[in-house]
Amino acid sequence: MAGAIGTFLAGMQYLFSNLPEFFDLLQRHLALVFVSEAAAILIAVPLGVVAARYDRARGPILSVGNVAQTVPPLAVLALAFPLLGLGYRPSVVALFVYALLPVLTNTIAGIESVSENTIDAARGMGMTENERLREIQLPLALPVIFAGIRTSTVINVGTAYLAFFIGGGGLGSWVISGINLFNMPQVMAGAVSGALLAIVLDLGLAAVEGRLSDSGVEMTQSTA
Amino acid sequence: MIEFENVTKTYPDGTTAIENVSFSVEAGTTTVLVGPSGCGKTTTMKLVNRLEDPTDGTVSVDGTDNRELDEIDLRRNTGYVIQEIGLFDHRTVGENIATVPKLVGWDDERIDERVRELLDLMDLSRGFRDQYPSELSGGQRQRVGVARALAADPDVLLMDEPFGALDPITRDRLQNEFLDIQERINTTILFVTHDIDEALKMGDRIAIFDVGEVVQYDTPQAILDDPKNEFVADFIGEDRSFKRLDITPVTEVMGPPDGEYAAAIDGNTDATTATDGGSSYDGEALSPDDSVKAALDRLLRSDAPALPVVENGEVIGVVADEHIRASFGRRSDARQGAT
Amino acid sequence: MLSSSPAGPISLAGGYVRFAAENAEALVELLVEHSVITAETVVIATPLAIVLGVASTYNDRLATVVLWLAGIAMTIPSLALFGLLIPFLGIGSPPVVFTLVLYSQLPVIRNTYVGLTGVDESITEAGRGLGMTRRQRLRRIQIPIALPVILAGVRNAVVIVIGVATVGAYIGAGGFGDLIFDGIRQGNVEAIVVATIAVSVFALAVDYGLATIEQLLRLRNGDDIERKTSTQLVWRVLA
Ligand SMILES: Nc1ncnc2c1ncn2[C@@H]1O[C@H](COP(=O)(O)OP(=O)(O)OP(=O)(O)O)[C@@H](O)[C@H]1O
Ligand SMILES: [Mg+2]
Repeated sequence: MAGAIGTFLAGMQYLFSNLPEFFDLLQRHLALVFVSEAAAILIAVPLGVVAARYDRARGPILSVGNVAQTVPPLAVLALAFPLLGLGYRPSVVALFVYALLPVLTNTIAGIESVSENTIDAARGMGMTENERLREIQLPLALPVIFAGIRTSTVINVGTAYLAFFIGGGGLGSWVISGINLFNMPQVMAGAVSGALLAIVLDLGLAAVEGRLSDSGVEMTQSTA
Repeated sequence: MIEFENVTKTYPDGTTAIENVSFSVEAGTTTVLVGPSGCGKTTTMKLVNRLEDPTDGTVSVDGTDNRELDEIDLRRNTGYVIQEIGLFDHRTVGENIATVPKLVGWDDERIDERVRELLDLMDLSRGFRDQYPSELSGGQRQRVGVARALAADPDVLLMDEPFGALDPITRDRLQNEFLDIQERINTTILFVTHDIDEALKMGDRIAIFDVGEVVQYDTPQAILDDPKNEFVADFIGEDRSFKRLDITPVTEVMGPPDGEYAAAIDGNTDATTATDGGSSYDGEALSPDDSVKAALDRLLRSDAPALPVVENGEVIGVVADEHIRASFGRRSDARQGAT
Repeated sequence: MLSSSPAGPISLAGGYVRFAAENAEALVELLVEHSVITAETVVIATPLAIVLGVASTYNDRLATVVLWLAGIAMTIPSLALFGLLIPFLGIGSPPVVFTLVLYSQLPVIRNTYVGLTGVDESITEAGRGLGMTRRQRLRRIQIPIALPVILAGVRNAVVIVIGVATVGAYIGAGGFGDLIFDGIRQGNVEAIVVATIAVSVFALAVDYGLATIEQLLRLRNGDDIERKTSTQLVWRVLA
């Protein structure tokens, strides 16, 4: 136990004596996560809507998605290398691909979880298909979609560590070079900060998610 | 006016919900579809606003085959109370009610006023306006569902078991309320229920469904007088004489206020003002709105051999045992006779 | 350790096939390593998670805490966790298996809990009426009914384990990850592609196999489900 605390303290000491570099890495890490996640949301939500709307599209979209999710994240990143080369951009693309599925499946599940009765009522009132989607299905699906975004973002923080292997930078840099050089304080500093980042993001997004499912209304009102 | 002509509906999975159904709902009247569970009532209703299209036959609204109408317009002009209520959980009661007026572009002020009016009408306190459906009881939700359907003053109203989740007292009050509203707004109404009493009370005409087909389509009076077959008779139940008494107004059976009853009535009438329910009065006079069943009840409880029917302080008729009995010898359409 | 031939743009697919054939023996070895780590994890993680899941059904507070902790554990990036464990467990498979066990907890605990508490009240009531003790009810009624749900959790966990184990190769745990890292280091496209396909096929195959077992369990419970062809086959053979 004393050893654990000692290592932890050494890690924190390393972090604080290298603050400028830490902020650099953190910034790069966040850029990887947020850019890829934003792109994933922008693509996955509309794709989910299409899949939920057209029965024929759903089967193929979901099976491709499920197979893709079974592919290990390291494999996805590794594949980006021969296809796109090394660096930040290939990393973002790989992270984006890996972040897609949770958002996609939750979008489909959320839209399909809207009860048949509610849909019937909306149709019966003369809402067009677009009005129904915009005013009824999407707002009602929002908490579920958001849960998918939360899962996807948290996984993304972890996967982004691997981006360092293909030159993407980020917190992985301290952990990986620390392991290589057996510099444990450096590993500790990179690992603890990323773990905290993931946990904080998770809790923060969970709080938003909770508010969405309680009164999923105020938000949808302002976006509608 | 809504017309069903030899309509058959088979769902894609092969279930034939209704087969060769024909009937028409005159403009401004109420037709009640009644029958056991799964006999095709909801399906029939959905054919009107094109939530479903017929496999065979035509459904026309005001003389036009509804498949030629724009379905969005058709639905916006057709109020629909769905069986499962189907409120939008993410919207407040007020927003739910305002759905169609918003869709058809009413201005905010008009919508606001209309929502308030409907909350009052449905006996929902204004405080409900900003609550969410999940905060309401089943009965309250059902009333919001009805209010939502009425919101944009639709020409046609489809109501699928609109009062199913209400307690008997509230249901009775809303039914009466609704009969009043109907007289004022003159909407064409198709109303579904599985409760024959509700059907007899609400309907100008009743379509009795057996699995997938209309067995009898007639006025309540005619159905009670002359059930077409065993199924209908069973459906009406053992006490159809009582049911008939209940839907027949006293004006239909009363005799002239002279002859042998003149004496019995005299001296009573001066002090008597008819009350419509008769509740606050000790029961010595009837109002023209009273049912024959109410008259019989009072006769049984009173010493008098006959009771006067009083309208605006004037005796317009008299009811005694013999009048009630005599009316069962006749087969006439009470409603047409009365109005 | 690996032989590779220059990747010509003329016949890429042919290149991959040749690479796989030339390194068949090494690939099999990697498969064995990967399977062993996965199996070790499952053997340790599943009983642990089931016990925690069952314990959670006895006490709501415990359930909240256990599920919360398991959820937090999953948010910690795998590479970070490997790094944190090296000072204590060294390199090689111990820190990797430790991490994988931790990651497997949430899906299995959650499904155990949901599976057990989801059993229809009236069925457990009937068991009580027959004079079963609480433990008997658990063993004879609840667990058999919950089994397919628990297995679905295991399946979920195994897919995660196979994926994360790939990264574990970096700290010496072996498996297909070795080939991926070698490929990245040497810029060997064939190695990367072949390793990626191999590990993905491995994950898909295990996933499919477990899904089949899950369906068989459901069928045994008399559930009405859309059967996979494999389920159909095995079910017929068994019948
Ligand atoms: N969308 C559908 N697809 C297939 N079959 C359907 C569908 N909707 C209804 N049915 C079937 O059509 C028949 C009539 O259903 P319908 O809902 O019209 O009955 P109902 O008279 O309204 O019953 P209830 O009183 O229970 O509401 C039933 O056998 C039902 O199972
Ligand atoms: Mg129905």
